[in-house]
Amino acid sequence: MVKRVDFEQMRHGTELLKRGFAKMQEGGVIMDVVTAEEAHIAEDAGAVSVMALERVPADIRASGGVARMSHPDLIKEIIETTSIPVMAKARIGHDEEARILQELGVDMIDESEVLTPADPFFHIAKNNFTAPFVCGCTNLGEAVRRIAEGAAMMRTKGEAGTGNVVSAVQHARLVSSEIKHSQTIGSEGREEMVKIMMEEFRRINRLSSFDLSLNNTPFGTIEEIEAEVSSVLEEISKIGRLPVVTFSAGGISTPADAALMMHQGMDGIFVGSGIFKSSDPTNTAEAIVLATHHFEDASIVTEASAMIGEPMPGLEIETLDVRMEERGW
Amino acid sequence: MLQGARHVHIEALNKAAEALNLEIEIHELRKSSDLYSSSPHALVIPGGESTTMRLTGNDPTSQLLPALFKWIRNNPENPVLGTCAGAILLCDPQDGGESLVSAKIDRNAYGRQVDSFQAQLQSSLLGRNFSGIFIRAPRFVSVPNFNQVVVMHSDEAVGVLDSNRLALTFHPELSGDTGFHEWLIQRAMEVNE
Repeated sequence: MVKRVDFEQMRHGTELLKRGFAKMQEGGVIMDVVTAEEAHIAEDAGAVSVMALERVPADIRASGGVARMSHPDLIKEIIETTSIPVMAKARIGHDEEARILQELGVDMIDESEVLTPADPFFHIAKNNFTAPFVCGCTNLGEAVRRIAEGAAMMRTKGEAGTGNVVSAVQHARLVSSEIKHSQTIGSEGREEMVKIMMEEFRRINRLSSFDLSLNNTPFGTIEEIEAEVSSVLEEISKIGRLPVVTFSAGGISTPADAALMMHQGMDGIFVGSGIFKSSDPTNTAEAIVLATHHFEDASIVTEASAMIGEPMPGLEIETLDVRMEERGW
Repeated sequence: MLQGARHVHIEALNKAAEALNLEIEIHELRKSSDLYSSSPHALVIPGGESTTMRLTGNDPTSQLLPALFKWIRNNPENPVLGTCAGAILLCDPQDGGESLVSAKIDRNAYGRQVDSFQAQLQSSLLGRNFSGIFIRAPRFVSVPNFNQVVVMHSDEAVGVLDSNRLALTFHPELSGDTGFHEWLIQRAMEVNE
């Protein structure tokens, strides 16, 4: 998907600038924070960005109900007190929440399954924004669709707010196995993959009692989006990885979890509830940063693991009422 | 570096070496011991978050930053390329010593990510235009010796060369143009001859 770039005129919000922003996060840890004070703790621990929100996923899960974008005042307060980039979450398909976040000066918008989805058919048309987006994925098809829609960064969904890393591992392994698969089946096989990946863009047709001949999506015509999906998949099979920076998220709560995901080829780590639901957030934050930066050095990961107190309490995936990973498609 | 856009620099260096028909060896540095064991001829300090780089680079586990700064001071002939956050570290090492590139720099001075931009630059070092990519970029506040300004964005300095240390506030590694990486490799060859 290499596009010609015109440098004659000064430009903002290009794909190069959006993906470039994500590249600067490489190797780092992005932490969920709910107050300015927590943002300071995260910054002082070496976070590369903070994710500003009202409640961490574990609390969203516990309280139930509809989870929406955070209050603008909270996001503003965190933006004003932090020197590192600030990200914030919009509901899946909620273009209006995303526009508000962009207006507030959020550096990257997370179209997140941790919040209650707003659109049952389509995700946000991310190419219409100047601010870059990060989106979650559970498999290669989801990743390709989000990138084709304009996401500048991906993360595994994992299962947020559980302190259980198993879903993050599942998603990372699925994505990498499906990438390898795409490399072995030739261009005809990949055309088949594209067809399967395209099905999810036709959800609206499936729900109607009529045979809708609808051809338009928020991202252009079905043909245009199919061409984009195909070109993203071709590039992935050529380079052997996603063409955007890919972090792990959802259930990472210890330094060992972080190192595990880095060893699986992830470019960095999101930690949601894992830090501020632990017994000693400052040390947990520093330890997870240390383990992420030095994941290849077992002695340092061991040292980091000894720095923390009680990790957050964990939940078995099978016992959950709400599986956030199933939101979005 | 412990954090930052390492891989795009590695790709750019490999591409530059190929263009020059030279063989190079690239080492990723995470700890001071990595620097001592690799004894490099040139250094690249990538973009990323300068606060993160400072914190973890000064951590007792790594000690990479003090080692890097000492190496740069002891090897004035060897070329160094610092981009964005790397330029901040060169201009403002905050280690009690003199700055490694004598210019005052302001962090994240254009605004937030929505203000990040790309624009055509003029480089006297390369003798041609260059595609500039500025991401939450820093800005030179003052450059004491104007002769050292080697890249301009209209009438603003965006690249400063102080002896063999080049501080760029933009990201040449993202542009697909390996001009500055070729400069680095060529300088390293000259020193090494």
